[in-house]
Amino acid sequence: MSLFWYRKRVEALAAGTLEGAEERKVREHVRGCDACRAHYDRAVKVRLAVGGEGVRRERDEELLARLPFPGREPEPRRGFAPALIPAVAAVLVAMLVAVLWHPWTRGDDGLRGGDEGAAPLQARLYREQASGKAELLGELPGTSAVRVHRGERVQLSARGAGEVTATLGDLTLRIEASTKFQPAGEAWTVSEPGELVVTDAAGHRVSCRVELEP
Amino acid sequence: MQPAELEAFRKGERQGFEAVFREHAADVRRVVERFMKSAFEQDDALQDVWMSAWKQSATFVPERGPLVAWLKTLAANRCRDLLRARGREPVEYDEDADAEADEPGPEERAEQAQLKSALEQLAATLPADEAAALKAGILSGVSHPDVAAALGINVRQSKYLKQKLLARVLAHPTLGKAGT
Repeated sequence: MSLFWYRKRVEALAAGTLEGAEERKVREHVRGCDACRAHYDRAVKVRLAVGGEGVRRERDEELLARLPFPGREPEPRRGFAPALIPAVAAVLVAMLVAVLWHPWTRGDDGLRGGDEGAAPLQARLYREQASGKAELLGELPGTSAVRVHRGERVQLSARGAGEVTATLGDLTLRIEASTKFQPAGEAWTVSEPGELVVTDAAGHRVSCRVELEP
Repeated sequence: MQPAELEAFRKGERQGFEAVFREHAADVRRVVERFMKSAFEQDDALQDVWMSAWKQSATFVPERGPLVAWLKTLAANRCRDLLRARGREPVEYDEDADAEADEPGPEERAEQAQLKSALEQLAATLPADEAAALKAGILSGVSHPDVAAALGINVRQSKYLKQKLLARVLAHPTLGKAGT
């Protein structure tokens, strides 16, 4: 993952706009990264300096919301199911992208327009064929697992809020959501099974298993 | 705080815990801020303290003293433990000095004034929607539903806007230095 990706996530964490698994994942990273921790501290200090006591109360509510009480949604499983991890590993996967769905992300840095009623995150995974055409493998949410051959090339497209992040094993890619499904961006070679997790800027998350054909 | 809420807290019930949290979050936060200088460490410690409070709530005995004192002692002890676990020596903590230490000092007041002035300058350079968000208090602890209603956008968009504004503030030559 790039430094830019983390800086943006750290700022989102400090702004209190990350939720769920993504919030925990970024927080875990910051815990072990001096540079990100310093950036987080700076962002929080600025936020407090700007907002004062109101921001303190807001941060208290954010803390209450993330306290891991029993009965709260459990940490979503990430990474590979041990039984499915082949002894020989390599990196895999596949995917992504397309362009803007969210009007704010148009232009230099977004913040344009008002798109009421944003759609929830949806993603599609495609198999790249020799003809150059893409064959639909599955749609998220809905598909629990897709099966591909080792070495097969796949692509992803997504509809969601702004920036979309997809992870499969150790691989993480940033893409921007599109207004319509269209396989775009780089195709990736799948060499290992795992859980494909796709999240958007609003914290929505969809996932499915990527399994290898025997 | 209602006796029923306190009893619910002691029984480990979520509703009671949340009532106690909202009543005493600021008290606990002030204790943690004495021990931890880094905002990130404060956040981690606060989570640890409150989870400890929830797990140990049955050990709170109202007859022995007020809940706030119990929470503050718990917070101070957890912070000491956390610092020692990291090989650091905990600072001296005087509970009585708590209240007066909360007043911002001259340096802090000067920094806040400088920040306010720089924010006004920044707002003047922003596109209308971003400036409106800044004025609506999106970085000032105003709730997202309130900001969303004021700007005619939805809550998700207000969160996105907030994140973008914070990034802008951090990139500002004066404002961005506020946290250094």
